[in-house]
Amino acid sequence: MNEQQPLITERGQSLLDWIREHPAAPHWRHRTGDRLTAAGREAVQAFAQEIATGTPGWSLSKPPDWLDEEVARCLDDVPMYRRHHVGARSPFAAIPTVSRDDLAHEPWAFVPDSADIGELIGYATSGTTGRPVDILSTPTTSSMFLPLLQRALETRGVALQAGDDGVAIVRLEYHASTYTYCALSGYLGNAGFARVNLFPTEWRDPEERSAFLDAMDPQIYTGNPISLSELALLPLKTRPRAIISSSMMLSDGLRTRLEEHFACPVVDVYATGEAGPTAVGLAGGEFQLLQPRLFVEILNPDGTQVEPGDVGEVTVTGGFNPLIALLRYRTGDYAAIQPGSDGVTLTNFAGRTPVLFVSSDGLRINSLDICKALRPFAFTQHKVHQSSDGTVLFDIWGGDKSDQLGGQQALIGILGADAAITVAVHAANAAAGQKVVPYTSDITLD
Amino acid sequence: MTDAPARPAVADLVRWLAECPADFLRPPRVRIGTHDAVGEVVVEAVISDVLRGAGAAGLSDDDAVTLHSGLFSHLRHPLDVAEDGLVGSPTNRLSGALIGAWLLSHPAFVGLVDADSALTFLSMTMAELMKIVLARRCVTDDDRREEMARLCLRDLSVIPAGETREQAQDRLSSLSSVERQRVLREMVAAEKRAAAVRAAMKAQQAREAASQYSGV
Repeated sequence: MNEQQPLITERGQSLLDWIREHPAAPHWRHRTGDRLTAAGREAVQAFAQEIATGTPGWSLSKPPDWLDEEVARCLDDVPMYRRHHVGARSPFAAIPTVSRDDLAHEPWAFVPDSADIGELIGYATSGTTGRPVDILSTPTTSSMFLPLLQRALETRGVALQAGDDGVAIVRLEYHASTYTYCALSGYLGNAGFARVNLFPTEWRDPEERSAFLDAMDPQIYTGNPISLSELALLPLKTRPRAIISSSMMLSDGLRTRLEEHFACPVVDVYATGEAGPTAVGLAGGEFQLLQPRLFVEILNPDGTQVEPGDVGEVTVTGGFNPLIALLRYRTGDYAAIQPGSDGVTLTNFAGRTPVLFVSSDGLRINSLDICKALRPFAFTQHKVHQSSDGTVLFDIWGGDKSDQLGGQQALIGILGADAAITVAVHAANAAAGQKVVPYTSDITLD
Repeated sequence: MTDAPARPAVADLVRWLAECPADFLRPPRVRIGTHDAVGEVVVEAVISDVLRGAGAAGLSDDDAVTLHSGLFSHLRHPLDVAEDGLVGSPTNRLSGALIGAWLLSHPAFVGLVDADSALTFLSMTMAELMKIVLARRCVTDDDRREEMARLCLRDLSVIPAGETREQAQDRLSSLSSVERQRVLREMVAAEKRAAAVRAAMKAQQAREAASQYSGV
């Protein structure tokens, strides 16, 4: 059996070879497949059925029917929550919340005792909000993203079709370095999928980016505001049926510009590594929930629910990942909740704003690359700000001389030898009590 | 001369614990150093009231110091309190003391409580018990209610109604050892499982992960 592509067919293999060996293909940095077995495909199909027929079935005044059972399961079967021992009869609101820090610290404590860990896979999230976390998952769970993305696309009347005669999805990244690969989707009948990095140095010739994407001619692009605005700069001849933006906040301005440029709907999906695709943006800034078994609360720092319409921390219970039990899990994202046609909708998302820098040779730089480059250094806090004239101010609090010099070198490595960087070193505790926003920029995507 | 007070029956105390009012289960108030206090219930005030109600003197300044060193030790930072609910955490210890205070407010203890023994029970004995038991289980779980009731009687040197000293000692030591063995078994099983998940995480790093269709 092909372990990476258990459901592969001869036609699928030809498609995969064609993508991988295309003359304009980028450097493939990784080799993997969807690892979806026949049993896994059945589970994804059943999940798709549940999504198609089910509605969230709860509202602000009426929690979901399955909530009590889920709470009892977590308190009984999951090490993290057994510690709380609040008793199944205690009110839901009295159950202590858990956070991304808990998950980062002990991912295994969120794995139910009864869960099969034989198919465990793991991947690191980017850490758009807070620190990066190793997310435990299974191949089936990864493929369950697809019916959720299909449901998100349906809100704009777009269907994602199955079939081994073409590429269904190209996922676009824009990073100095990230892994890239091509694969097939067993759930989508061996349709092609590629994860592609638009960063120019990841191609034999950056001019080939358009040729490759035109050849792939995917039904859908997925990406984030930074990679999608890079896509809009390419002289593409083909057009996708729709574009899905996630990971970061998509401004109305950029959405409109992308929709005009590509003459297709741009669908904004709110997703987290822990809970997967959670809500889809509708007109007017409202987000409709996507999952049939995910309960969302909006909380104050003390764990009480905010008033409907007020912004608080998005906190989730339930979900579809069998290896991460979520019980009052604080996502680190902020939004408001209000009554909606499907029970509730989310509004006023705050945070996860894309931050863009420009290197001295004019290359757009994703703030996550700077974050990654500076991670090894032991500053108490730091801040990198780029003004619209390109000059950069690098504030460092704490760390020793070697951290400070190493940090500057790393920043020059990313922003270029000719970048105008002014460094200001402060005492470790000089910003104590202040919330320093580490990456800010006057450079805009529009 | 008055008659000696009647000895309380364990069953009455166990029932009393089961009816512990929600106020005693609220988060205990803690102030550490110059940080702002967190939590709701002022533990010293509750204990002082209970002692006076049982006919003993309220807390003296010295008593308060004793109580503090027993209950509030190891609390250095408000973040410690964030461990709320964890076995062995400072707040679990304080919650245990609050439930212990509720137990001492049973009418049968009037005239039987002296401040020294009560403080030994609420600080030292509770600190020990709360290392392995979640405070709330002393309300929700039959055996833990009985263990707490019997520990209290032992510290106050009161033999339960209808039992001899030996019977009382036997019953208490069997309750405690069963619980300790259960906790030990759970800890071993939990550690085994965590190690298995960690090993699976390590093994999959050598393999390749599966496709991720969109960013998160």
